[in-house]
Amino acid sequence: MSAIAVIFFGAILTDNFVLSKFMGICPFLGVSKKMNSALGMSAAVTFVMVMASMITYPIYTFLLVPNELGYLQTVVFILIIALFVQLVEIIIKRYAKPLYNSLGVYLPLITTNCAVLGVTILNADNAYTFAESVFNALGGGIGFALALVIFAGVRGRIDASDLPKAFKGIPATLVAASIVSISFLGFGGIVEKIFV
Amino acid sequence: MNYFRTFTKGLIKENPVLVMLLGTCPTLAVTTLAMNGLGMGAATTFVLVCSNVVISLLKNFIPKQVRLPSFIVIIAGFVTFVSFMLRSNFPELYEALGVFLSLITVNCIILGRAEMFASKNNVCASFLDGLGMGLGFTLALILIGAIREVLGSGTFFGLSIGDWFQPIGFFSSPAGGFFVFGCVIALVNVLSNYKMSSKKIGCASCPNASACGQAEKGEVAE
Amino acid sequence: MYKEIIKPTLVLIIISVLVGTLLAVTYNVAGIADLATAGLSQADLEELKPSVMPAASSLKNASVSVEDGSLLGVYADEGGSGAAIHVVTKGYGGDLKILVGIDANGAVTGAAVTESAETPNLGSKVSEPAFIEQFVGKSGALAVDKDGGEIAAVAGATISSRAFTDGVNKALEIYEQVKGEL
Repeated sequence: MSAIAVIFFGAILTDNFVLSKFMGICPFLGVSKKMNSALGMSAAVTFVMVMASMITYPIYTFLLVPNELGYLQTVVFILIIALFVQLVEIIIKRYAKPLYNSLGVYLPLITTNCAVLGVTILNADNAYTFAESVFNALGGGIGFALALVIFAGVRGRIDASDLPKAFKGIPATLVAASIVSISFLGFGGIVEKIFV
Repeated sequence: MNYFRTFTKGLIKENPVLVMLLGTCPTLAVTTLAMNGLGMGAATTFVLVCSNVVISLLKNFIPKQVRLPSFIVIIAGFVTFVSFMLRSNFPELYEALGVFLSLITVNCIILGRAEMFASKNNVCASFLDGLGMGLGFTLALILIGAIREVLGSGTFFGLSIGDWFQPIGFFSSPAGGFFVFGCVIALVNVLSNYKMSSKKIGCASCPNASACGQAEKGEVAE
Repeated sequence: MYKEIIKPTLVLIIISVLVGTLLAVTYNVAGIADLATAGLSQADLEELKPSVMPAASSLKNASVSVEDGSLLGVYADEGGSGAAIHVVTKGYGGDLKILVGIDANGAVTGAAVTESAETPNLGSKVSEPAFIEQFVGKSGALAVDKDGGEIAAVAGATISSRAFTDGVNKALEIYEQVKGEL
């Protein structure tokens, strides 16, 4: 149980996907301008991360590993993720129009989000169990949401401030991301200490 | 079609990292050392050139319903091939790049060029486009890697720059990555007299660009 | 029907099968599978020997019956002076792999970091002689000063120092279990 807690809270805080693993930077920079889009994107990413972990786990453990095909993981995982995302998009477009309008627009962005492929590969490389994989993905998704929401707030302040011309826009955003990342460095070691 | 322009535009004018802001994840993650930047750049260039050529060859054969999955499987195949080669010939680099080697698959630059260029142009142009974009990516990674390595570890491509310099650990940390990247883009803005500065964050040539715009617009409508 | 559903599906399947087959051929022809299981090479061992087991004549891979998640390999000294144990522990930045030399009496002769993802200039200092020398000649359960032990942790890198110490303890433990088999 404590192993799962360490993985879960580690993925949110110490090993935050965006701020310390650098996965999912594009949406982090692109969709964090407004709180609503930040939340919508995070919800869609978390859902796909968890589902992708659930689907790839049995395929990797019971199909690839016993047949010594572990080296095909990248090809197989990304194909599954691409097909899954397209499938979900079709289904919710057809049967849940309101959900599609609020979350569906983010779905095409997710296939190429490194955090999704990243979490499935990390699960496989670390030989996580099914439960550990799911909690790693859930923690990663929540960590992604946390980073995006904090950052949406920070960006509101950047836009309102008077900056040197050279730093206006993207450079200032990246420097601000650096400062937010420093604050997450402070979590180092805490999670292991609490739960072990 | 001017082949020379096709090749050189990726180096500076449309540099994928510094001007178009594509492939930011590996740019930040592996550039703690200049050598890792070079290795990542070379691996990505190889995948980019190969996938551009193959996709350009297959462009009439792949139906539009399965375009994205087909492209991404081809790209993932080349990525796995590169990881085999690194593992057998450069095991240290293989270890250093870690999961980001597999994540070349989802580097926006590669899928972006496949969608924007290779699926619409002939093989020769696609080859040059891939090579130019790949070299531009590599140069940017070496630049950021060198800055972070010199300031963060006091070395340059593994060679010590002398004992007089006290390395600043901050530049090797994730936070330092964001910081250096931001400063380099600010520098590009100044040097190009604000002509090359990307107007907005996002992925001009990314396959997601339309969805990104849609997402932002969707918010305005609400 | 054919154009809308069957053809796209067929194309995708053909591409996937082709990619998979080509990779399988490369994987087997290039002998990547052998690399995955190989531990430290003989050249690696020669290079590490002076810092890990200076007194050893030659280190050779030994197969042992102990199963332990953190054990990567056992390399026995042909001269019989002891063995080097290769272990992996969880450091601050990821896996920390260390090779620990242990003499016939169960005391540490030296150690070297073979792979680390620790913060450069902070946690990475556990691979420097100043830190490692503290372990030479020690045996039993070791601990860093913050945990009431005798090992002075690297300043600002308690977690890395603790991980390294755990690795040495693990190696000592494993050595006690395997020394009868060597």
